[in-house]
Parts: sequence; structure tokens; C-alpha cells
Amino acid sequence: MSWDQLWEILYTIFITQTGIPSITLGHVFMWAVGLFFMFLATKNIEPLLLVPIGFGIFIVNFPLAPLMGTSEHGVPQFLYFFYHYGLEWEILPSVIFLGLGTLTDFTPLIANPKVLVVGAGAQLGVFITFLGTLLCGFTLKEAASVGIIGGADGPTTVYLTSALAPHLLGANAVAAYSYMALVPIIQPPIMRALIKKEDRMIRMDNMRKVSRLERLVFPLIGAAVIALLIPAVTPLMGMFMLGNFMRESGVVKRLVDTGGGALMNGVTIFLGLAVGESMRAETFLDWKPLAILAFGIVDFVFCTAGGIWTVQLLNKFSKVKMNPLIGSAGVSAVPMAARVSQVVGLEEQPGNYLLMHAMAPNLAGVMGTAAAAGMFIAMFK
Amino acid sequence: MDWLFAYARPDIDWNYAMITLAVRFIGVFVVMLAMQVALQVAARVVRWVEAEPVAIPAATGTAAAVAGLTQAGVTAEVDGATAAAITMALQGADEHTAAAIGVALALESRSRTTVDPREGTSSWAAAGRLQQLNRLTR
Repeated sequence: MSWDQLWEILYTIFITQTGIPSITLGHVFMWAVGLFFMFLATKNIEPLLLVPIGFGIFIVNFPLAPLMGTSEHGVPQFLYFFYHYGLEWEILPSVIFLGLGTLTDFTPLIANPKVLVVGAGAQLGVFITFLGTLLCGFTLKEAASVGIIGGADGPTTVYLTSALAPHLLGANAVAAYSYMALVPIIQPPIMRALIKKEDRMIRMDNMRKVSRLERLVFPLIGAAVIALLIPAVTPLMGMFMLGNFMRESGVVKRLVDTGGGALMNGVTIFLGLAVGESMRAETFLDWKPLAILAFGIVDFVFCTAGGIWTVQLLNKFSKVKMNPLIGSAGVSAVPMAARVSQVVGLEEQPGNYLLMHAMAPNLAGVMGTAAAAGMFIAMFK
Repeated sequence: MDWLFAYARPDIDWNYAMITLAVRFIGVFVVMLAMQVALQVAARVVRWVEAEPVAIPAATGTAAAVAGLTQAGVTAEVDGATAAAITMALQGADEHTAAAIGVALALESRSRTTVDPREGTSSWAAAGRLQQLNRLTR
């Protein structure tokens, strides 16, 4: 064998069998994005999701890696399985909702069901963003998937985007989870700007006692109403209510522990990884992800304002006044948005504990966001 | 206004988009309101079901008292005598009278005899029994 032949073999291997010559600036940029997410995770910003998302972005942006394509025999490659069966088949968000159901105590919402409309009012940003993105050149389906970001519900965002605009999955999921982590920074200035000081100091009465039977009946009612009125989102809310029913039944502790523990943790890994996998340089680097990040903040602002305005409107017709600070919790970042209401309330008046009152619109927000998502999915069927 | 739509896709039917947007936003409210109504109805039914066990009166008077309690929205599990006392208090009787009625009814239900309101040494008990009798015969 001559040196020329050896060189030719090495060159062929280098060119065709390694990814090095195929690296582009886009790949390098996406590595930086992935590393940035992992760095944020180390700072305790949504670490459970940003670690798998960040690593997913990092690993999927190495050229020629057999991860997200199909083999020469048409067999889907390793990570594509998670993406295909997990997200395209809408399994992972629904299983996450099962786990969330097992971890959710609906007592505040059952005790004060009139705040359910706050969860609807807090979807204002979703519809405003829908309109805004349409004006900026997004399609109807893309606009709907971007709008839902303001609902501040990660699994619902992933669910809707997978159904309507899968090519925007990465950008939407990242925007949703990023802004959810920023709720404590985004919301307080809006709350102070929209609510008068005396209203921020309103004290709310203790909630009534909720019996076990009421808590047991709630998931059945919730599932029935959702399945009847917005069947498109039944997989998501049905699993949510199943998880909650298991919790309240008190007879399947092992299933509850698994649903809210090991199962949800495992699914979170695959959800994060699948979202990260969708952010390949070839499809992600576009003007739309940047626009989505910009619209995301607008979305959150209007959703927060919508919740506050709804409480203020309810107060005009009610003898028993609610503290409008709980309205901001209508975005469904559970329980972070409720904690923000509590913190701002305590700053205004020490001893004014709003946490449990704010949990009610917070849970209503989860249902409101799911309802909005169901409306959008139904729109395109 | 054309500048507003400068970047919008030309294939979008804006009439449809705006109408469906408004309808679906209102739709979210409708869903939440339906849920609210369903929850409130369920809460009433559950409270009614759970109030059933207290409606086992020791005497006819306590049955009426418990019914009054249920109407007043008191759902805690209480014995018949206490229920009667609370009911009287809710109806405007002073707390001493209500307490006396409670004692009188408790004694009456335990003795399984009818007590003449004119009998007894305690003026509170006598007043309570008399009021209870008047209330039951009204």
C-alpha cells in the first residue's frame, strides 16, 4: 500500500465517516445554546427540564450522529423514538399531567370555585399573542401554538405545539419554561402597576372546609366537563384528573407514589430530551424562534394583567372582595405564580397570607390553559 | 391601516381569524363557568349527603331543629340537643336561652318522657322548654 492510498482512505474516513467536516456555524451556535441552558440549570433555573433539554440540544447538533433521522432501512434512529412516540403521539405531556394530578391538591379551588373565571381571564395574553403573531407573518397554526406560551403551562404548550406546529416545538417549549422560571421577576411590577395600594392590602377570609367526598368528586366533574365541552384536550385533562382521583381515593398509594415520583421523573427526562432534540440548527435557526421569545414576554404580561383585571371585575359585582394580587396567579405556573402573590401581599401588609387563596386561580389557570389549547386544536380539526 | 398587515401572510382570512379568536376566548369563559356551576351544584349535593347523619333526632323537636340547622347552612355533626340550641340562637334567642333549651332537650331525650314546661326548678330550663314548646306548636 502506498502513502497515497493510505492518505485516500484516511481522507475518505474523515470526510464521510466523521462529523468534523460537516460542522457549521449553526451547529456551534446551537452547542452554545445547549451549554447555556445547562448553565442556567446549574443556577437552579428549571433544572429538571433544562438539563435534558440542554443536553438534547447539544448532542443532536453534532452532524452525522444517528439520532434523529432514519436508517438506510427506514428504521427511526435512537432519539427519534422518544420524539415520535413521546411527542408526536402526545404521550409524554399526558403522562406528566398524570403525575401532576397526583401532586395537586384542589382544595382551594373547590372551596372558592368562582375564581375559575380568573383562570379564563388569564388567557387574555394567549389570544392577544395569537393576533400579534398572525400580523407578524406566522400561520394560524403557528400563531395558536405560540399564543399558548403565556398560559405558562409547559406540558400543555408541548402538547399543543406537537399537534399544530411541531417545527416550533423547541422554541415554544424553551420560551414557556424560561418565562415560567422568570415569573417572580416578570409579575411583581405588573401587579403593582395595575393594583391600587389599598386593594393590595385586602385581607381575605379563611376558606371553608372542604370534605373528602368533595375532593373525590371534583376530578370526576372536571373530567366530565372538559370531555364534554372541549374533547380535544381530554387526553391531557383526563390524565390530570385520573392522577388527582387516585390521590384523593386514598386506596392506591403505591400508584400515586409512582405517578408523582418515578414515572413523572422518568418521563421528564424523555420530554426534555425530545424537546431538545427538536432544536437542530437546520430547522431552529430562523427568525421565528427569536420572534417567539419576544412574543413570549408580551404573552406573559397580558396573561398576568388578564387575571388581575378579572379579579377586579369580579370585585365590582361581589360583596366579599378578593385581593386582586391573586389574579396574577391565573397563569398556571404552579405554584410559583401563587408564591409571587403571597410574597407581594406580604410586602404590602405583613401577616396578609394569600398563598392558599392564590392557589385557587393558579389551579384554575391550569384548566384555563388546557381549555384554550383545546379550543385551538378544535379550530383546526 | 394597511401597514398593520404588511408582514401578515396574504392567505389569512382575517374575518375568520378575528371571529374565531373572539368566540374561542369567550368559549374558555363558558367552559370555566360551566365548571364553576357544576362544582357549586356538586358542593351542595355533597353537603346535603353529608348532612344526612345528623338528621337522626332524639325527639321530634330535635328533628325540626336539625332541619332548621340544615336550612341555615350549619353542617357540622352535632347531637340533637346542641342542634336545637344552635337553631334557637340562629333564630334570635339569646345564648342563655339556647343553652337552656339544649340542656332541656338533652334531658328529655335521655329520660324518654315528655317534660311539662311548667315543671322544673330552673327558671332558664323552664323558659327554654316553654320557648321550644311554643316554637314546635307554632
